[in-house]
Amino acid sequence: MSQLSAANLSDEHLSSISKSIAASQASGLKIVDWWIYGIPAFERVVIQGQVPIKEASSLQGLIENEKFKEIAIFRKGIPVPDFFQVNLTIDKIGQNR
Amino acid sequence: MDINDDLSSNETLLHGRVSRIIQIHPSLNCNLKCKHCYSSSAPGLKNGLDVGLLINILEQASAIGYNVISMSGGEPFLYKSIEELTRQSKSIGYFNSVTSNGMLFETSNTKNTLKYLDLVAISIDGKEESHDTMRSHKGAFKKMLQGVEILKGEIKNYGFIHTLLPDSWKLLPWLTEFAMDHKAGLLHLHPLEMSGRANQNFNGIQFTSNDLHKIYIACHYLKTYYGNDLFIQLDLLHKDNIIDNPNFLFHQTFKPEFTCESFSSIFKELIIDDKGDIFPIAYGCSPFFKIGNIASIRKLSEMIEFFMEKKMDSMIRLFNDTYFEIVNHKDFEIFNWSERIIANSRFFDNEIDNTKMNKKEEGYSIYVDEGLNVLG
Repeated sequence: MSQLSAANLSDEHLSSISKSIAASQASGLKIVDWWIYGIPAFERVVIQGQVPIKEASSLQGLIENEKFKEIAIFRKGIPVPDFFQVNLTIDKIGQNR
Repeated sequence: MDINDDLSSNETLLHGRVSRIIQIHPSLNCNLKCKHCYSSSAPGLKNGLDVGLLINILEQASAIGYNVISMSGGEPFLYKSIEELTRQSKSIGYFNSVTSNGMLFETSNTKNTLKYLDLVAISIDGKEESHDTMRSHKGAFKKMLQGVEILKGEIKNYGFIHTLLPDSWKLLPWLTEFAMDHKAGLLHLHPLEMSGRANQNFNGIQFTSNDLHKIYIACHYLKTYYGNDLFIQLDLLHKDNIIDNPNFLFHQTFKPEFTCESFSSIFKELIIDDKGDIFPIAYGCSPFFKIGNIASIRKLSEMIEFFMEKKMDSMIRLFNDTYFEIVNHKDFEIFNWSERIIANSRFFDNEIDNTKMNKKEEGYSIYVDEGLNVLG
């Protein structure tokens, strides 16, 4: 949160992050972790979420979303793999539209 | 809010029912005079709604699907009939929730009432100094903390409600920690509404796009790490989450049946204001959309049928205009749906006369004048 305060973030920059959160929500992804990189902060953000395998079709919307420069999908679950862990990277936000 | 988040509504209920809420403002009497109060509540406003009439309406509303009452005000614990109202509503089957400033929990009226409540939300404006300043009452924070301690011993579900100001995103981590430290289950974040006393004290203050994004991001960040223990409800939405959502748009291909039975599915919130007037959607909606009054001799179902017949086309126009305003306007990327609906409903203020029923028409003239029949 201090990074939100410290960084002089433009509306466009913030909008890109908000849209990514909204897209994650719309796809049914439960966000479980964040990584915030860069000086100033938020130049690169990785949002990690989980979605049950049964609802994996909702990932299509995320894959088509151009906000995400990189999407890494892992099959997870113990003892039976029953969800996908999805890492969404929002990179160089100002230029990545 | 409300229509914004069905998930949040579900989670406020014990048995997983979809919540259909009746928001009751039984009186504007309050022990405080908060700077941000949207209803201009204050000490000395003694009039309260007749409890018998309220219970009568609650019985009828239960039959058409409403299952939660949410009391605010004014300070609900100053309403003299709160114990009877909550006891009766509980026996009808309602989930009882109350929003309070938490300062009156030592009174016997309050202690007797708490056993009928399922959820209490305590208002908090920030750290001690900010809270006391906003409440125009030195010591309000300390008194509220004492109330929280009483509440913890009396009720299973309780939480905090915070009125968001433009720079509230800075406060959100503290609020979250505060709620967690006090074992609260809910942190409800509601943006400042420019009505009532807030309009006088905060005139000129605006949420910039930057503020709204920061609140939205901060809230979701905190949900990630605290969401399992604390339900964080934000009354702000991203426009991408309403596109083609039937909760926000009456599609040409999907029009619900406009019957009394379907009413609570379309309008998941019903408002009873301090005059006993009944409105859909939110407190502060244009008088044009008044459904009726608790003192009306008509049944609630008749009032609703009349509303459906005479005002539903306008309501659809209001919803659709608001929807397209948000979707097409770059400034509404993050927005408060109720606030936009209330603001746009004001365009209908001048249409009131056009909808008055001809007095010769079957007894419906009561709706024209019933505002005069309101209890004090």
